[in-house]
Amino acid sequence: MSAEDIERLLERDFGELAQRFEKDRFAARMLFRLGARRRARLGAVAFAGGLGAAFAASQFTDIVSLAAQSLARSAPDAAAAGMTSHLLATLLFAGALTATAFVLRQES
Amino acid sequence: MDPNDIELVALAKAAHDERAFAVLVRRHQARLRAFLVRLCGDQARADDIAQETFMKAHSALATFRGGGSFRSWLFAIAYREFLQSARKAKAAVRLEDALKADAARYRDDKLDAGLSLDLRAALATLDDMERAAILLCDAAGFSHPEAASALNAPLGSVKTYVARARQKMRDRLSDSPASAEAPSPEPATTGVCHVR
Repeated sequence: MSAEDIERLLERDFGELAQRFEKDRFAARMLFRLGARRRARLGAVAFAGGLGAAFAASQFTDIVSLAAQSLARSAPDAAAAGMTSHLLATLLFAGALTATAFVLRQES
Repeated sequence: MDPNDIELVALAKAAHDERAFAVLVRRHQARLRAFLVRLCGDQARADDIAQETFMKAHSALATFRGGGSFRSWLFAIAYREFLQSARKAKAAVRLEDALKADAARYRDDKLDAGLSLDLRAALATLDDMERAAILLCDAAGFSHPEAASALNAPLGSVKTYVARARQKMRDRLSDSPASAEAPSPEPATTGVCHVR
């Protein structure tokens, strides 16, 4: 038996084995396992975000009032343009919420 | 056109793109597992090593510099994992004993159906490095420099390992009564990782 014969036998066996492995579920299991860390991180971010949102919701009126006062001082022109400081504060929080949702979407 | 390995690695590194790494896993898992199965002769163990290899590759992706091919980097991790696993497995039994003990287990093994028993027995006579070298170069189609990178060995040594492995297998197969294509009734097997 020549070196070429050995090489051919090994190559054929290896090819058949690899072909069989292409069809099984190893890759899917592997990728699920690899995604576990990412899913855990996403869960933690979602939990922290939810907790923060719940707290913010409970404090929303107070926070908006505080932000509105601050905005009224720093942006008097906006009030003059017919936009109340309360509306501005609400828009500000809506923007922050959208940004958070965007980040979460990127993560997932 | 599908992106090549280096492009996928760059994407996975730069954008933390899990999909890019998933493509790499799908692209290389079958051949990596085939290599490991023939290296240690046990599919369950080979799959464990392959899983560990991909986990390590995923977390160490930032350290891949792209000097060599991605597959040789990946196979290098796999080979290190194999050696580590072999040490842990207390497989310091003599190969001949192990061959006898595992012969029955492997008799009906579908994984070995395509490989002649003589060839398996011949593979079992090689040491780890020789077996890995011949599997990479002759079976998996690695170039010698790629195999050297995967085995973390000098290029000249890898050429020597391959030549020696071929010679040993040729001797073994010439000695055996049946040809490599026709299995002998009493199977021998590469069922145990050879640890020195």
